[in-house]
Amino acid sequence: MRRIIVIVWISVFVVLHSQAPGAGAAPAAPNLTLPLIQNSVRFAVIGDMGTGKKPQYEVAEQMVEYRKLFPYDFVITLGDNIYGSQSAAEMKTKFEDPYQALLSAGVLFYASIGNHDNGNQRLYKPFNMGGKRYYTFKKGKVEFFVLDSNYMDRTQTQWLEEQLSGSTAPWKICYFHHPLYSHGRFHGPDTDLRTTIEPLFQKYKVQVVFSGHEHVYERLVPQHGITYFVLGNSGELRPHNLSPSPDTAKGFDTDQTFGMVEVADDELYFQIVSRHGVTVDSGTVNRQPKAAAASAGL
Amino acid sequence: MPSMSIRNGFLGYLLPAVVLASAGSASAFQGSPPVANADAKILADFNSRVGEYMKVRKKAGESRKLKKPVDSQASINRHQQILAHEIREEREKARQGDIFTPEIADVFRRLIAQASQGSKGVQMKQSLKHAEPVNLVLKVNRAYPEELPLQSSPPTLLANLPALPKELDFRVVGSNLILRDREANLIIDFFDQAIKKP
Repeated sequence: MRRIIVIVWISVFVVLHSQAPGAGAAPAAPNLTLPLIQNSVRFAVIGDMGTGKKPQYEVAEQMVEYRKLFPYDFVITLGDNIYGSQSAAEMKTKFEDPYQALLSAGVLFYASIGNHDNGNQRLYKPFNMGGKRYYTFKKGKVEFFVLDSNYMDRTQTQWLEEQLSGSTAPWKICYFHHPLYSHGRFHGPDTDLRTTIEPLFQKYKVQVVFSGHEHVYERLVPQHGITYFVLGNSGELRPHNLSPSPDTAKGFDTDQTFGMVEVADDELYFQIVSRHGVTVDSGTVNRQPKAAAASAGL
Repeated sequence: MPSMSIRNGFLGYLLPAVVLASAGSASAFQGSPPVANADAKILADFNSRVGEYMKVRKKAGESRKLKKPVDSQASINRHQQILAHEIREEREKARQGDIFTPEIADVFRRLIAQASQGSKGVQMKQSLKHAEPVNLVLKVNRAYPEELPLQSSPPTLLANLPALPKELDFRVVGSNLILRDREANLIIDFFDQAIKKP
């Protein structure tokens, strides 16, 4: 009897702790859910990717495959771009090599800095930070506000308010490393950061926020009209680390992922894909606050 | 209120904080007890010591400053290493407490203790706890280890400390507060028992 119980326990453990659906299996054929609207703003999202290990390369391969169907122009990074040593050789194996096909195709990367990153990454030209820890850039109707959540001092907070208040962009998207909301067990939300910058997001009508840090994927039920994404598993992964709550619209913690986003007029479409090519989340965010609730497609 | 000319000078980094806090105005110091005059003098001393460091730093690194981003990570690393080396040479005799004197460290401890009170204090402590705390042996003029993450500095903590020139930052390591040169990645000074364990 005891032997049977042990076998059952081992079986349960193996099932619970196995990798993602499809782990070890052939990648799924790309299946795009994004609408490909003419003149839309298209980009990809990665976070906590810079390990230089095989899963990072496999996610990068999926990004290349999906770009054949969804030709995005740029990638935003949510920090922890390079783990460990930041030597030239490590920069090659943790950034330049995995994304070589994208870099060669002229895809631009716009980085934010995580807690594992050397702040001097702001001087690394392929990260397009213009030598600054925090910066903004515009693409079509979208303005991006890239923050350094490692060090949110008064200077940066004042800068953020100035930038947001002066922005006339219909879409305002913020991204930075530490999540304001998260149901990951390892870190959880940074509530001190939240109470500092979320009032600015509300006041100036930021619609969407992307963060990393937590090595899982999670989309929150809109908070104060803002849709929050946590995507910190494009290289690192903390399996089974999510404790979903009623505020979790979608969670995925059994494989690495990357995101693709398309912004057209009043809609933002998103699709999150695992390193095995499985679509784990997709949906739409409406620009107007009254209709801000993200509608999930899965 | 400080004038623009003061703000643009180095004193401007600190004086607004002290003046605003003393006045109990609705600033980033909101909710914190006013800084006493004696503390203001000690913080002015801190400001002056940081100013001296900045002069040394300028002498060490100005001529080779990377003005624009570059494609070569090797160039960035070389720049960081040379800057760190020259700062070390200029500050060869620097010791712990040169900037955070015992008096300055005591005032900082009080400011941090004030920041730790109330609901914002609870959030600050949670933020520190969630931010991958690290422990390491600290030494002035030593580089912050590249393989270790940098613990983020909670906004509430920073709002209660003097502002710094953009080249420097405050970081928490264990129960210590360190003053770090960002670009050179050097520990400039530190003091212990800054953060009380819950």
